[in-house]
Amino acid sequence: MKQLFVFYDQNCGLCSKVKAWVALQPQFIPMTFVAYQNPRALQLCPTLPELDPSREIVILADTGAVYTGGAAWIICLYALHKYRNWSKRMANPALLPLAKRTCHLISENRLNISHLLLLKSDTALANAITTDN
Amino acid sequence: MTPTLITYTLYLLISVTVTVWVARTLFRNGHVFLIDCFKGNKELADSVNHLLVVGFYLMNIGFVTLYLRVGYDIDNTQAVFEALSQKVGVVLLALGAMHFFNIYVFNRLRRRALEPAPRECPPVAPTTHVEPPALNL
Repeated sequence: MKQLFVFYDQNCGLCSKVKAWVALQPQFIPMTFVAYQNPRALQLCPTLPELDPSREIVILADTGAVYTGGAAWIICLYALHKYRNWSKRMANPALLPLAKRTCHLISENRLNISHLLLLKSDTALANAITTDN
Repeated sequence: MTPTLITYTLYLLISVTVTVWVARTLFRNGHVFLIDCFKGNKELADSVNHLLVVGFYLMNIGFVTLYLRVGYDIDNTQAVFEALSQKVGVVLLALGAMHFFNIYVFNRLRRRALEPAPRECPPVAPTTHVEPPALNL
């Protein structure tokens, strides 16, 4: 596994914020972030719509392995220098269901959380830049 | 020199001597174990050995001193023997327990060190598989 493609929601402030944070972390496996609404996402993964990226985050490895939801978050942590040990701990059968449920809960409510925390999504920021005359 | 004081003196002499003897045994023989665990790194083995021995002394001398006090009067030689046998007996059992615990720890260290290094692979299984992405550079 030499590269990971992370399909995130560009309309979600929380996702954009987390993506920016992850991108800055030292990585074992380089991660490329592509909004699932972006046509490039379909080029990389033609079956992406079937995987329902609007419901849960989808990560595609260069080997063709696809991780969604809680598993995707664990792979994301696995790819980071500082959090690889955490990913192994969370994959432990006792913690994994909890991790998956938490990710699912956050994912379902991501737009509400973004509004609550006043987080600007990538789309909102792009619009603010382009429409500001 | 009252019988009680004689008891205390003998108790301390015997307990501290045995503690030092067990500690030195562990130090000498544990050294070999640790060199094996740390793959020939003598300095690291020496350092861990010293640390373990310090801990061992602290725990055991601490226990020996705490357990010194006899709560009743000791009037004659028979009472001295009886008090000594009880106190020294408990100390020896405690030392024995610490000794076996140390050996257990050494063994665990060694077994973990001799395990083959696990191959690094993702901790979760993929949700599904698709065609590998076309990476046109």
